[in-house]
Amino acid sequence: MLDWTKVKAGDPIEPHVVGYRVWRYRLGPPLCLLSWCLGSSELWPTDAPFQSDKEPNLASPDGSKMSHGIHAYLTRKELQRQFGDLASLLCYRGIYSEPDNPARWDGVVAGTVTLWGISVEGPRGYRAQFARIASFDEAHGTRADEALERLRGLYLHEYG
Amino acid sequence: MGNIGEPVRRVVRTEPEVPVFTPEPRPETEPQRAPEKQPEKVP
Repeated sequence: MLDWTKVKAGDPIEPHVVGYRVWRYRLGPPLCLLSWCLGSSELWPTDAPFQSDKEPNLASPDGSKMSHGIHAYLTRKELQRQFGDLASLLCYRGIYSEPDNPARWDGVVAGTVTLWGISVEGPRGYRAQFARIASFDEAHGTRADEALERLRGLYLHEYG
Repeated sequence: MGNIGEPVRRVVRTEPEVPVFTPEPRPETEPQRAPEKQPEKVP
C-alpha cells in the first residue's frame, strides 16, 4: 500500500499506468516467475502486488548508478527495441543453470503490468514502486506454451 | 531490466481499483408467522 508520508510537496498525483516488461520463468515444480535481472532469485508473488524493496530514485544520493523501482517500458515497440528477439535471450540460460541455483530459469515471458505508487519516469519507460501483472503475451523457452497458460492461471486473477 | 533513459520526472500514481468479489444479497423472505391459536372450545 502506498505510504503517503513519502509523498513530497509538489509531487504530481496521476492515475496508474500500464507498462511493458519481460520476466524469466522456471518450470519447477512449482512454476515460478522471476524478475529479468539474471542473478536474482526474487519471485513475483501470485497473491499480492509486487513491491520494489527500495523507493524509485531520480538520482542516487551516493552517486552510484543503482536505479531502483520496478522497470517497465512505455510501449511494446520500446520493449522490443531494448531486448530484440525475445527468443535470443535464451542464450543466457547457461549462466545460472546449476540444479540447486535459485536463479536458474527455463524461459522468458513478456507481458504488461499496472504500475502505481512513487514512479520515476524517463523517455522510454517507468520505474515504479508497485506493480500488478495485467497480461502475459508471449513466452519462449522450455515448454513455453504450457508455461504461458499456467502463468495466466496463476497470476491473472483478482486478489482476494 | 534495461534502460528507461534519464529520469525526467517523479510522479505519485494512484492504485488501480481492484474488483472485489461480493456475494449477491440473499432474497429477503417474509418472516414466517406462527399460526394463530384457535380459542379452545368450551364444552
